Amino acid sequence: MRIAGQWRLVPFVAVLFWTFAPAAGSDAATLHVANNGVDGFACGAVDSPCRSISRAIAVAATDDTIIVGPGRYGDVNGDGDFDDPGDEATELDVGSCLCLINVNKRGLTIRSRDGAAATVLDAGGLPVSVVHVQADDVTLGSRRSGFTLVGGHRGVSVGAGTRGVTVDGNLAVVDAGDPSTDLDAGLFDAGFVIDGSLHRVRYNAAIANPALGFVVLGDRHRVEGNLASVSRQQGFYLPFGSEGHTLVSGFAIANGYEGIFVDVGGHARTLSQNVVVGNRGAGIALDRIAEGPIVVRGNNIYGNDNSNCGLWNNNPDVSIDATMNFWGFAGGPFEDPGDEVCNIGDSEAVTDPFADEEFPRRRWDSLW
Amino acid sequence: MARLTRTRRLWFSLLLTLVLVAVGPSPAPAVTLHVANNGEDSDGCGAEGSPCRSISRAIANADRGDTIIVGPGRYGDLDGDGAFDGAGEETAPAECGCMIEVNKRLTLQSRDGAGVTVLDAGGAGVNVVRIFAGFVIFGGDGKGFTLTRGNGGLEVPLGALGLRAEGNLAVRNARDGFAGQFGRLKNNLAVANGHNGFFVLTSFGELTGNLAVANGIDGFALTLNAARVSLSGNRAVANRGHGFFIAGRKNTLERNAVLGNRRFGIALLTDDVTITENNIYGNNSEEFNGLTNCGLHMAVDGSLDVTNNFWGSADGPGPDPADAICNPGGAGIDSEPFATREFRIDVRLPRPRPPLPPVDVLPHD
Repeated sequence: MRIAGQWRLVPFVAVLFWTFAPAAGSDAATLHVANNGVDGFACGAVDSPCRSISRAIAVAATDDTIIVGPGRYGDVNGDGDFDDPGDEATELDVGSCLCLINVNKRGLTIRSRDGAAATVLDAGGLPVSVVHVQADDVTLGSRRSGFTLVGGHRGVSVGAGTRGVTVDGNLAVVDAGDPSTDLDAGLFDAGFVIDGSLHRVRYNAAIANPALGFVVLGDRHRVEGNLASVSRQQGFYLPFGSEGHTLVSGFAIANGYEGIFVDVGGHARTLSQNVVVGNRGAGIALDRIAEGPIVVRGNNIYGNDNSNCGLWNNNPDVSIDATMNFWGFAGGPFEDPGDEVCNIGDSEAVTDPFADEEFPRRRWDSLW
Repeated sequence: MARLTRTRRLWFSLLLTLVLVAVGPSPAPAVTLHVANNGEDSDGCGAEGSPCRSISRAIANADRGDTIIVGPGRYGDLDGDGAFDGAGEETAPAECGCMIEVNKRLTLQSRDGAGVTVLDAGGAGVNVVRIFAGFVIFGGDGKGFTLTRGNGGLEVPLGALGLRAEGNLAVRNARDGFAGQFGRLKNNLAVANGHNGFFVLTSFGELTGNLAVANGIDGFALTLNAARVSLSGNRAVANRGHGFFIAGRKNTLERNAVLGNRRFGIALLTDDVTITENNIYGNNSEEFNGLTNCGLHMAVDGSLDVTNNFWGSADGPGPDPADAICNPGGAGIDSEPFATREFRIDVRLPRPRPPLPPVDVLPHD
């Protein structure tokens, strides 16, 4: 049987493809950073690591991977400036990222070698983001390879206009300003401030931050498995303009205000499978959200609010589906020891059917 | 068999009585009490279906040898009024100087892990937990607590022997994360506390797999009275003081990571210490006592063997990028042979995630 002329070219094209496809893939390099590294124009090989992550980012190309060894990164000699060998670049000028480390190349993956607790990014008390991401498709951390972020007012911020960023496995214990006393305090000082579109924010922890745990701006992020505990203000805060997010399998524990707060003009599509326990404000507060529907389902919600509101609902024009939640009491939302649903004015949240026992044990995986 | 005389029968009865009194009634079997954020305190609380609201109440209701399981949420000053006197709040006895006093031999564990089980002293100037009884177990693998906003996190005064603490997180306490007399500390994390991460006051403890990160003073501090303490698999990273401060004698540091601490990596006030197979680099980047780059600093005279450690360079201790050995006290320090590559420090891996709840509660996604 004869093969038609154009089909005879198929093996040739296939050989060409397999020859060059791996070569294209191999363009992405892996660079290394370590506390015993030295910054240089070509640093980053495994046996000549950079000292600073900023330097590795400058050396890296799009889609490269940066592996960061354990230790401390920031103002290395603690002299208050960031211009000594090994210091992170730190941008403080008006109009800059206002950050210790600026991730500005598309597709970079930055991970720690030994995990979050052993890899400390320290902004030294400056009112900045410890890490700011302003490029698409960046990955910062992974479940066993994240970072500890200290000494700034925001742990990780992801800029408006970005898309497809992953922030995974990081721990933020920052010095965010208290707006009532700190003139440097920003509007959204928090462990994590996420703007842009379609990001994945997962398995991070914001613990004991003086302001907010997570601020979720932008649209359609998937916020999964994160922990916000002992924040001075809200655990998870979705302000005006946030749109269509999914908050799933997270933990809002013992925060000073609400566990999860969708503020006036904000919106989330789904709040599901979360553990919302022991917050001083309402467990979940929905205040005149931008639009419906919003589904609040499969959550454990109890031990919240001095007024006992597990769900605080001020949405007279939007129906809230809050079925299949556990309210701390087998009989559904009720007075102590359960949590109640507090509907404001003509608001109404549908809570029946409810779960009559706690959803299966949900541990939060430690980062250390 | 010869019959017992009346006198012998009397003595036998007396002896039997003494034995029975000495042995005492058989102890009640150990039970498990429960505490939850949807519990209520009462004299009889603690059953699984009627948990206590406060850990203090469960301790009061417990007997020696019992286990207390604590559900997720906040424990402490619940209404945030600065006092520990509301319903369900911890008792914070004044003589204890603490929010939760453990005065019985108990096992205290969280049900869902440290991250979601918060003991919050609210900045009231007391320690979060103080343990006065011997052989208490506090936490466990995936069963620890978060201790925060106390004067100190977990404190064990002298005399309380054999404490085992595992899987706990001490964060943002004003002073030390963990302080006192320890039997065994394993896989605990002290981060961003005002003073030391771990402050060891007495001898014969064992610290394995703990992390001290970004604390205000030292990562691990062993006082003059802390002797024969074993430290292995720990990591002291990015602390403002030294990574390890060792004043007591005959302590052992093996397979620890001492990285990026602002003062000395290891500061010694003794030459009677074993230091081997540790990773020591990136320390003392900030000038201290006129010195920089000291991975190990020995302030006293004597002789010290610190062979087989990794100092950040295949060439051994020295100038950047390695850490150096500093001995202003004039000690003879032997560092060769040194390791030419980093040691593997055992890293505790996260527990596998449990399966998610049935999908029928999940909305569209």
